[in-house]
Amino acid sequence: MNGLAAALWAESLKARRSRMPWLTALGFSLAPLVGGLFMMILKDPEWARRFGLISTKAQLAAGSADWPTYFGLVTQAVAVGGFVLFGLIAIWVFGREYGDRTVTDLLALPASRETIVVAKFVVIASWAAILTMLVYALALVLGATIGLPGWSTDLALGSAGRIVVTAGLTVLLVTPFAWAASAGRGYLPPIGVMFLAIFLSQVIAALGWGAYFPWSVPALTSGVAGPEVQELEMNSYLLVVLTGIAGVVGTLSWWRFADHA
Amino acid sequence: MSWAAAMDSVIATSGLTKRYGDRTAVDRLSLEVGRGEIYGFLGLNGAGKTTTIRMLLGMIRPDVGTAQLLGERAHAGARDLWARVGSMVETPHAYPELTVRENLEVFRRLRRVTDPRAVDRTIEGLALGPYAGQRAGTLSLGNAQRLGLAKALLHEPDLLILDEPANGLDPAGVVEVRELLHDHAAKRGVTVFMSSHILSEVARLATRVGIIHEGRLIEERGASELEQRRHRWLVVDARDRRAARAALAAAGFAADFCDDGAMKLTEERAVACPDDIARLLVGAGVPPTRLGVEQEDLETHFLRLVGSPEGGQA
Repeated sequence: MNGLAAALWAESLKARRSRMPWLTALGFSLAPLVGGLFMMILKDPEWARRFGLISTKAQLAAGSADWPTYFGLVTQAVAVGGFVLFGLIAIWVFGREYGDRTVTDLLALPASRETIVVAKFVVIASWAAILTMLVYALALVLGATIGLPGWSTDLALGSAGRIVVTAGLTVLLVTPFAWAASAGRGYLPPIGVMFLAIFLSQVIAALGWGAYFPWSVPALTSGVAGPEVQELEMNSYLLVVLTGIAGVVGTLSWWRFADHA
Repeated sequence: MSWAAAMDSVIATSGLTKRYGDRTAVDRLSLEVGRGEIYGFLGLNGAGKTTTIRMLLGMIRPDVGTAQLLGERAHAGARDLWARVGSMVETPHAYPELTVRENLEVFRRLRRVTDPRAVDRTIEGLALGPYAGQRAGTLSLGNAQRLGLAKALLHEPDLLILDEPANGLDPAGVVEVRELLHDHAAKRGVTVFMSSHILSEVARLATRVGIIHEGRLIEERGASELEQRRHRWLVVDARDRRAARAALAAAGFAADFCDDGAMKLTEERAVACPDDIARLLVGAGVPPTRLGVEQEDLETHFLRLVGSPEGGQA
C-alpha cells in the first residue's frame, strides 16, 4: 500500500468512526427539508394555516411552488449552508489532530507529511461531494413527493450543474480554514477566521464588490443576490480557485516547514 | 565530531541549539549514542528534553547545529529514516474514537509494514490483548501509555526515541516497560534514547546517562560511573555526643550534625575506614552506638548537580 492510499484509508476511517458525517448529513439535509416545507406552504397556504405551520396573519413572500423555485432555494442553501458545513468539516479534519494532540504521531513517518495533508483534503472534498449528492437526491425525492409542477430533465440537469459548481467553489474556499486550524493548532482560531469570512462576505457583497471577494462568489453564483449571478466574470472564479490553491499550499507548507513544538 | 564518527553513532548531534525569543531552550547540545545503547536523557521539567527530542525527530528546526540519526541528517522529509525510527513524544495520545487495534492498524499502514500480523504481535507484546477492541478514548492512563509504546514498536525500529516512557504506569507497568526496552536493546540491538526526570528509573535501565539543565548537557556518564560519583558519608552516634565530637575533633575529623542529632563525617579517610573511627571513639571512652556509611540517593545527586535547593550544596 503506497503512502497516499494508506493515508486515505486512515483519514476515511477516522472520519467514519466519528459522529461528524452523521451530524453534517443531518445539518445539510435541512436545506431541502426546509425548502420542501416552504414549497408545501406556498403550494397550499390554507393547508399550512390549518396545521399551524404559519400564522394566519403571515404574508408569504413572492414565490411560486414549482421545481425552478425549489432548485433555486436548494442551490442557495448549498452556497450558504455548505460554506459553514464544509468549513466545519475542514476545521474538524485538521483541527482534531491538534485537539486530540495526535499530530505528533503524523510528523515522523515514512508517509510524508504532504501525503497526509493531501489525503485530508481529498477526504474533505469527497465528504462535501457526498453531502451535495445527498442534498440533491433528497430535493428530488421531496419535490416529487410534494408534486411540484414545472419539472423538466433540462431543468434538473441544469440545477444539478449549478449545485455542483456552487459546492465546488465553496469547497475551494474552505481550504484556508484548514491552514488556520493547522497554524492555530486547534478549532477556535479557524472558527474565528470562518466567521470573519462570513461577515466580510456579507458586507462586501452588500457594498456591491462581492465579485472581487472570493468568499462572496458562491452565494452570488447561487443566485442569493438575484440577477448579479449573470454578471460574474471569469476573474471572480479565478479568484476562488487561487484562494483554494493558497489554502492548500499554505497548509502543506505549514505542515512541512513550521516548527511543531 | 567527525563525519566518520557520526556514521558510527546511531544518534549524533553537534552544537544543537534552539532559541525562542530571548530564551534558549537547547544550548549547543552535542551528544553521541552508539548502537545498542540505552541512553537516559535526564532533566527537570522545562530543561530542554522534549525540545531536543523534537529536533531529533525533525519536528523542530534547530537554529544552529545538526542532528544525525542512523547516519542520516534528521529532517522533516527524511522518510526512509523515519521508517527505522520509533518514537513517542510527551504524553501519548491516540484517536479516541478508534479502538486500540484500529489505532495500530492506522500506523501499520502509514509505516508501510506489510505484515498485518504485526498489529497482533505488538498487542501481545505490550499486554494490550484485553483492550484490543476497546476505544482508545476510554483507556486508563497506563494503557494509553502502552498504546503509545505499541505505536513506537510496531514496525520493529532500529532506534527508539521515547519521551518519559514510564509516565502514568503503575509500578508493575514500569518494570514491564523496563524489561521490554532492555530486551529490545539486548536481543535486537535496538538503540534506545529515553528522556526522564526520574534518575532512579533511568539508572536501572540506561547504559549511559546525560543530564540536561537549562538547555545544556551538564554531565554525561556511564551508569556505573554515575553510581560511583554519588556522595558518601559516615554517620556516627554515641550516648555522649559532645564528648564523641570532641574526640573526633582532637583526631582532626570535622563532624557535622545530621537532622536526628547524630554526627556526619564526610572526609574520605573517615568514610573509607569506619573501623578506625570506632577504635578512636572506644579509646576516648565514648564507644559508638551507631556507625555506618551512607550514600546520597540518586535523586539527591541529580538535584545537587542541577543546583536545586532540594539537592543541598554542590
